[in-house]
Amino acid sequence: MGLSRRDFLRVSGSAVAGSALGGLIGIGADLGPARARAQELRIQDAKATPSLCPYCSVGCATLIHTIDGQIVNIEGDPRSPVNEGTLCPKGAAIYQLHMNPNRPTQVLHRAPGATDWDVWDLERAMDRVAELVKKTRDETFLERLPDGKLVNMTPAIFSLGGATLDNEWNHMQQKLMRGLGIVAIENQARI
Amino acid sequence: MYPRNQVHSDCIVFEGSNMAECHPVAFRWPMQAKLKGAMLIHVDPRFTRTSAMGDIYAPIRAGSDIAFLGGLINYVLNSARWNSYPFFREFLVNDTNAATIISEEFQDTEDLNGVFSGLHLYKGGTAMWPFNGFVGEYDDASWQYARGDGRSQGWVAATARSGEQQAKTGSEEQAGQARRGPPFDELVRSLRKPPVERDETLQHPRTVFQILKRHYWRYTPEMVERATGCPKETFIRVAEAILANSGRDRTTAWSYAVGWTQHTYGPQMIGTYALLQLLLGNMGRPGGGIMALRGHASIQGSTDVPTLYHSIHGYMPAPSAVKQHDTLADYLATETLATGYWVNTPKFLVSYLKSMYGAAATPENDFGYDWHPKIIGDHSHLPMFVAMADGRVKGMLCIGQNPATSLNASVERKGLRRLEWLVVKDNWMTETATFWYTAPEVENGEVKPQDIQTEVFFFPSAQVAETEGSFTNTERMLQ
Repeated sequence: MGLSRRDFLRVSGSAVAGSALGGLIGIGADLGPARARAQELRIQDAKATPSLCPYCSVGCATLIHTIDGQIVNIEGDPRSPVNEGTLCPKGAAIYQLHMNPNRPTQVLHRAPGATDWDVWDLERAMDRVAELVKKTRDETFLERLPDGKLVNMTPAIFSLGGATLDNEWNHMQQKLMRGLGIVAIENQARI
Repeated sequence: MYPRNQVHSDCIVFEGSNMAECHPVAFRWPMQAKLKGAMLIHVDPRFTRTSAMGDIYAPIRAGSDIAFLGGLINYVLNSARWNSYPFFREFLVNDTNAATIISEEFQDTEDLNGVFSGLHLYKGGTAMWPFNGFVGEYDDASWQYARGDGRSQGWVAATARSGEQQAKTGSEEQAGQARRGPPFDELVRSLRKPPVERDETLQHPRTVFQILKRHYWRYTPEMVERATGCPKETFIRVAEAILANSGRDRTTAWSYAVGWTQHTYGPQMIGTYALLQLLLGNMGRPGGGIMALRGHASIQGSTDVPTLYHSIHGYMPAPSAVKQHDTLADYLATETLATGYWVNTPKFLVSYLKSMYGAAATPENDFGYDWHPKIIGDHSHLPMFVAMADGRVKGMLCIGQNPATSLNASVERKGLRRLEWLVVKDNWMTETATFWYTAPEVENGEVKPQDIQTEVFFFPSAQVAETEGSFTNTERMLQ
């Protein structure tokens, strides 16, 4: 569109008799191309995937618009009986959680006593974590209490987290922990 | 109830919640109710945006809700409307346990100078795990229903599909002698108790109703004003509003959130208000009931599934070394209820064990029950951090939570410093991942990073649009 924002505002500000639209036509703006361009929404070719807001427990439904796997827009899903397409300010900003230059992208490791992070690759970090979990668990595993009661547990590992994670994750988390004998499993629901 | 149902409410009380600011999209429904003429009441220490939308704002001191609610119960019980409008008494007698008679051993706070019968020192821990915050606990044996002689219990259906048959009394077979199963039918049957005694005129002194009246007699509007700081006139306005908006064709709803649950006596607050709603007949009706507002995206799912130490899927208690849970049959005998949906506990537990151990769980090995770890005390959030600060916890996995800034944060960070290893997985760098250089005590020099021997890992997480899964929201709806 050939009209600058300044022109537009000046025109609409001075359109005393008519509407801003009238004002635009008054200065000779042709709205045909603008209308055509408005139809070319940036989500026109996008794939819409339904999702949810990750913040509070109302559970507003969202639509994630992606083009070639890149998120271009996130908005409320009008089909949902929960939010009917509306979102609160936090939900409306979910796009910024995803497309954000400040997102951490590297696995970091801090050695005991160190004053800085090191960047590790994912495989190495996962192996080391697995090694530590197994080692601590084996060292502290209690098959029976002193009175002979069978407990098959370790009290020395704590798993914290869950309320913002999906149900399937929660099941796997507790299954892995309890499978190893770790019983101290907690999340924000306690608080 | 669920938020959208509040559209049908004639009166909504928000207490322990700032719904307008914390659940703004759900607050659209109370606002629509207001447009239809509903009354909104906000009971809170602070005047917030929810109060600004309300018709009545009742200020109370933080934590004094039981006094406020108790006052409402007393007011309702003594009011002309409640005593003359037949609906309330019908609901009470037919749809609650108000007519049931409690055993003779029960003693109320009025009799025992502020405590109920059955109070004793806390004995929930084990010597190996002494961390907990409890001093005393109640044994509820004296709180049970008074039961008949058990000669006949009438008719009952043995299973959902079979026909009815004459029930046998539970006193003939002890749980210990019943066949241990599977199948567990005999074990469940052996748990049955004789029928309860009732007085539908609600006159017997040990009916739940009369005990209730005696318990709450001292919660006068003057006492409420003294204890909560809420002016008597405001309190009476609230009481009159909820009375006027309850009945056969009007319902009152209550919304609460962490303003109630974040107290050590939170369950008691919620129980008191559930009592009030039952007295007013607001349960199980459109626009009535309890709206328990949860906080996080799937905190409800994390409570149902759960990643909590004290329970396993569907609110079954976690196997515990402190209870009679030594074998599968012991667990089932202790935890199964003889009536209601929880008669199915054996099915639920076996299903859970199969989900844990797959094909390795067979009837011969009690479905792997013996492999399943048992808790040995209180492994909840705060005791774990206390144990951690004591050097008893070596490693921690922290996924989507940030304890370095929550609760008694300096105690929690003290615990983190004693860990041998810490794994943090989060969308963003959190204070928990960086406690070894950003904590206040490190920045002011009290603690040096070189002295913190914790090996720390940080794994960046996917965001919500990048993973698959289901959330359970505050409506308890799975999406």
